[in-house]
Amino acid sequence: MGELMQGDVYSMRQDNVDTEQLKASILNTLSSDPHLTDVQLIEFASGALNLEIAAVCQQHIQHCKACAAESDLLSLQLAVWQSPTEIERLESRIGRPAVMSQRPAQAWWAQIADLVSVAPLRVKMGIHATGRDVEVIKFPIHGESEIALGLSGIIQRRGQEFQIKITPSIEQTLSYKDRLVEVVLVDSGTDDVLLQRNIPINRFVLLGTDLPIRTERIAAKLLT
Amino acid sequence: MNRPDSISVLDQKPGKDWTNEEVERARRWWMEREQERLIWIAATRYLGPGATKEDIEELWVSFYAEEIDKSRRSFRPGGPDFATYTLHVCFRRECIRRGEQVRKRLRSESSLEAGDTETGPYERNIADSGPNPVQQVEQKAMIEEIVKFLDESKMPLNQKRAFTLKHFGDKSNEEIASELRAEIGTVKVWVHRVAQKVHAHLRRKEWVN
Repeated sequence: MGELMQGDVYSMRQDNVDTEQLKASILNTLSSDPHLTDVQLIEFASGALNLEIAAVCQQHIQHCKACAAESDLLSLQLAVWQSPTEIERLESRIGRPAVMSQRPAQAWWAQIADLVSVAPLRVKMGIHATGRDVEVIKFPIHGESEIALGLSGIIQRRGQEFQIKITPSIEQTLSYKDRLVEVVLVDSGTDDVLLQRNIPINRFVLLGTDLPIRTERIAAKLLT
Repeated sequence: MNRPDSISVLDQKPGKDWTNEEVERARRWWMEREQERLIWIAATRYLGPGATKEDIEELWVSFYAEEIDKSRRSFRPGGPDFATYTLHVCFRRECIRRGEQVRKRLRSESSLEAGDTETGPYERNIADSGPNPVQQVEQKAMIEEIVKFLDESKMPLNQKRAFTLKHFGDKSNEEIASELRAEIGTVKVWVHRVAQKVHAHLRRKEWVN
């Protein structure tokens, strides 16, 4: 027998393999627009994909009924994450409050006194709600010991999408080229970290969709 | 999956060598809301049909209680990154295992309801929709043709393994990357290359149009 058989890798499904499925699977591999994989479906539905890949997935879903149905089915499961009491119940089961309150002593954002509140970005409910309302908040970027000169950030919500952009002044454009800014959304009351991201300069980056903003504040630090 | 540098830097070290601070850092990152939702969706998808909200919740809890640490201990650099390995290799495997238990439970429940303790409707459907003897012989011949072609071809062994794991082993690209200690992108290229050759061969033999 050949070399592959020594590794016993393809005696696996030979007895019960469906050859029609196998042919379809090979054709899908060779397709220029293949069906979304499990990983893509999961990360797309939960909003964890970066913008470029999400756009490709969205394009496929627009004309592929099968993937659209799978994606819709998964998105429905996020309903549980709309209810604050349900979230609290789930998180208490995994001991999240205790873990997240153990803020590392060296956390840089703990040293910043004037964090900017992002509470105004909360999605409007009831009569104040509109389909694509826009809210923007500006915040400073901190350097090693003080605020970084000629650098500022905005966090923007359009409908349920939260985007962030760090912009240098014209004079400082070159000096901040290719630098990253670490951004943290932290609940100043409980010290819960909602998210932590490294953001490139001068580019809009999707932070997430439908972030459960409560009393979080934003801190940003220029990385060396 | 977007990860901050403080997490992606952990990919360079075997999980068993992480410091306590690094272990805690990874745990806290998994507990951010975005990751919590991601794990919930992954549990839903990987469990498969028949799972209830309670099944999903139990798996979601077990991810934090067991999976993070279990996958960390077996994590080695060289394959997928730690987050992908934890979620899409180790947790997926556990979800599939529990999904099978869920469906087994459903089958036994429906068998009891139907007063039929030997064969439930699920098995009967499978039995009814299977290939007939002639189709079985044809299928076997086609599989043997692919196996023979792969054995005789001069393609690199890892490429053939990647194709085989994907199409005969029902493995995801992430699992194959973990098994063959390769980048996920590399695995995709390997599978694609072999698929092109297998497809061309099947076309020559008139198995496909």
